Amino acid sequence: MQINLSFLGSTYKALAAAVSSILTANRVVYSAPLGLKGRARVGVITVIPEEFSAAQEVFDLRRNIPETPYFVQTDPTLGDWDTVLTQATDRTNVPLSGDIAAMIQDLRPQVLILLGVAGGLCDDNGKGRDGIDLGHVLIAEYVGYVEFLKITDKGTFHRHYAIDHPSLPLRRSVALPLSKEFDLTGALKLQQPDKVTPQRQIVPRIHIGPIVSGEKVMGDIHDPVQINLLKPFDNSLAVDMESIGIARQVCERRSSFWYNPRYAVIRGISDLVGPPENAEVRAAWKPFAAHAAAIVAQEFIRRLPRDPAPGVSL
Amino acid sequence: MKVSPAQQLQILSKAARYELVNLPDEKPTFALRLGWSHNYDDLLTGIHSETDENGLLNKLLEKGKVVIAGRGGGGKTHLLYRTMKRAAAAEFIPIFIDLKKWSGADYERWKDWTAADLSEGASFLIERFSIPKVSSLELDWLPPTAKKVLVVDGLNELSANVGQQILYALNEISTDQVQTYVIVADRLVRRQLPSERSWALSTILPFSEAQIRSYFGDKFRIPNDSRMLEIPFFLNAAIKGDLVPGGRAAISSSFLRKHSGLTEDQLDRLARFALDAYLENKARTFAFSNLLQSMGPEIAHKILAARIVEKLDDGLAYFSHHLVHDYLVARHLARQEPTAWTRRTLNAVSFDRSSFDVTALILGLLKGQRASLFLRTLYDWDLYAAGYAMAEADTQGDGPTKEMRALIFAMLAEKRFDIVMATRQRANDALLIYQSPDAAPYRAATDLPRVFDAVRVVDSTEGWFNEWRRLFLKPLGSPLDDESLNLILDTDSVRGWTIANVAKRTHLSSDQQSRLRGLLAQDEAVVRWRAAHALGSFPAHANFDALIRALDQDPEADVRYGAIRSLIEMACYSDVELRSVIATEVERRADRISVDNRVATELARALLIDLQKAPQDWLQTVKTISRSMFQSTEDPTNRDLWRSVSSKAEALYGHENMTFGG
Repeated sequence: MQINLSFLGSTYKALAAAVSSILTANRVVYSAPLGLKGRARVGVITVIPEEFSAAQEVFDLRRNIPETPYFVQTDPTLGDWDTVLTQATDRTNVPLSGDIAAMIQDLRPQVLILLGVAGGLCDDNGKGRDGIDLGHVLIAEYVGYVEFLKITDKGTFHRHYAIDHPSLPLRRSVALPLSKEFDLTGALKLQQPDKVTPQRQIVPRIHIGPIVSGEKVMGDIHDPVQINLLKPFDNSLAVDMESIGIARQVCERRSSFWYNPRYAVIRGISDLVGPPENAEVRAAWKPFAAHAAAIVAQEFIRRLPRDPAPGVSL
Repeated sequence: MKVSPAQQLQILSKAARYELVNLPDEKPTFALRLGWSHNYDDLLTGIHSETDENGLLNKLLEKGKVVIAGRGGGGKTHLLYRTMKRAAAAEFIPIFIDLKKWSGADYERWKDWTAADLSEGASFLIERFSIPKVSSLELDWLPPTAKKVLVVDGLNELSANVGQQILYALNEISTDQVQTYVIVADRLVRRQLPSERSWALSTILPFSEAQIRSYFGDKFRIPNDSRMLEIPFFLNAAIKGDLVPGGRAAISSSFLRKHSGLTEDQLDRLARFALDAYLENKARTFAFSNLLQSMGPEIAHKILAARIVEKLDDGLAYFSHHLVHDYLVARHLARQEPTAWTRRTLNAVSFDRSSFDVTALILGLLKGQRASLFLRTLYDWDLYAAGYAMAEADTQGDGPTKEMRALIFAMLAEKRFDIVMATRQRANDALLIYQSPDAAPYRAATDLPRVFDAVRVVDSTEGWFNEWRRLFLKPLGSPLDDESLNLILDTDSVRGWTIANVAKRTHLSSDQQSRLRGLLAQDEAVVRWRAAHALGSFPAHANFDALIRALDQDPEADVRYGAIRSLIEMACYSDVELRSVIATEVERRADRISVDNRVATELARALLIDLQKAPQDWLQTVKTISRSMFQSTEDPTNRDLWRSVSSKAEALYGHENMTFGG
């Protein structure tokens, strides 16, 4: 870490430099590692087009780093960016994992955020668990995975591979205060859709709770096998397909002495899983849910501690 | 760690510099040109942008990982040496991973290290083969600002499966460790790159005539077989006066005689030893004590002194260039009776179909009918190997006959229109690599009738060829007479397999189909395989029952492989009801199929069929089977395979809106 002596004022700059030099003599200073294309403080990964558009709009990340799938706000040739956005090549774990691995290798982001929409899970009465509803935003507390339970005729058995859960310190120091303080309704820039079945008043909220990842190979949510697989995850608030991908990748890629990435999953609720299918409602809410999630992610990133790049004074 | 990262950097930099100084120099030093392609299709077709050797480091910095795919003798190793020196000058730490030192025992070690996770293989590679010696932890301990490049030589000298796994492990370590780059030298063959976007693909371009002249000066007269001189190994031989007519085998022979001082008889014994070394180890290395025992101390030390064999520290040794080892093996096998060309031998000398240099050399050594006979043997073993061997062999008109070549091309070309996309790709690759003009019509054919046209124009009075041609040219949907169908039993592989393929595209009566079903009980495994192969085109419950029985009960892996492929093919051609039955029955057998590796792999390949031929509900069939296969395995790599099949199927055949979690 560089020692900041700038408070001494311009008159003492030379002295400050000399003191700094003495203090750091014989010490090797390392900053956050570089990837092949440069360095990013935060990497935001979206999957479906609605999620990518919402993130691009909210973060104003429109400039493409040449010959890469990454978008930034500042000069794309800079090599050192604050927030970088990408869209996964497909919405399953294999391509998503590859995309996350590539982003890590290219940019070594300190924090990764999986941003987008998810299905809210309902209780036995068909109501969203913990009051979760359309347009609400979930910041994942931990990630479950349907395939960690092998359900057979002979019983249910645990199966695991190593994963990371969303960062606990980030949850404590960023997500929790954000969920208490942030005025999501005031920050939203999109009109809330009026298509709701059954009709009700929805006030956007931020939840912190478990998310469960389904396995796309097992079919969609209406498939009886999938429904059966989700049953044991009775306290998860939402279901998606990709969280397990980032959980596995971050765990696997946190393998160098020099690189310790953390991640968060921020999901807007675009539909409720359980009540009869309503394609129109889902279609109407998808852009709004993606927007709400992007607004929360923007605030989440704003609250992250800054990691100064060399030569950048904060 | 006992030292700080900065100290670790100093230690490793010094060790790397020391190793670089000791790298052998190539004299003369050739300046190679590299062709860079976006993907394997372009690479094999010859679509590339060109750079000099310096372009390699730029690409490396841009992409992170580079594959240099090239033919044997193409100068890959010396290019790697020079690149390491350039990398060091650009402040990289070059770590050389020399897979040429891989021994037979390393296959077991590799299996052991990667049993839980393929990624672990990178640590094994570094700890076992790195020069300078370093562990993956020590490598990671270098400061994050230090650029490291793993330079891997000899991937083509390992079995295809392990080669593929090594690429995966290298991909992982370069992602895991900060500022870690990878260069891999490989043979000219399509690999599944773990993350295509982050690999650059290149090949070493052949020397131009101007380049060849620049190394010789004006006095040199370019010989007739000048294509040989486009390759550094042979240009080097020519410059040193070792160029003799007769292709690479003749040059290797001349080189060995001149430099080893061995008599023909002694060379024959060495050739026998070289084959035994491959059979025993499936690797380039062998125990030096075995050489001592086989050849006697005097000869063993003589070839060691002549640097034809190099010794390693751990009691192992290897031939100084793999072409020398390959030539010796080819020399031995070319002189044997065809009964010596067994599947086991061909598997061993090709490292399980990973490298076809030996088979190409054998083909180059054989003349006329014997060459054609060997090509038939290759065809019987692996059609694609026959194609590759023909492409690589240096035959100047006295190799396989034009008829035999036309036959191989035609059989490959027919597979370009196979229903299974992976089969099409393999056939295309095998034809693309063949530069000779007589392959062009087969490569250019846009449909099967155009392939027939190419076969028709072959001017031949050879009886066997014209008989084969008569069979091959049976049009789609035409009837096939019983006499022709009976050729499926023929011990001649060409006739037997041709009729198995022809039967698939002709019309067989119920009786003929019944006869095919009966053949599934034959003693000869290859006949059962051919019958299973043909039955896939005839959707009927009786045929389905026979194939599922073969899948369940046949002791021969080839037959089970043929049965699963045909079942999937049948599902594609059948009505909804039978398709559903097939999917359900395959689903029920998922646990069993999952442990039958060859069958499971073929199932994954076969499910991805041509979109134009896929029935409307094909996605559902693929999903049903993928799901059961996914659930039947707990291995993350296999699970990823089935996720990938399902995901590719959705991209290809899916028109459904996703209703899962948004």
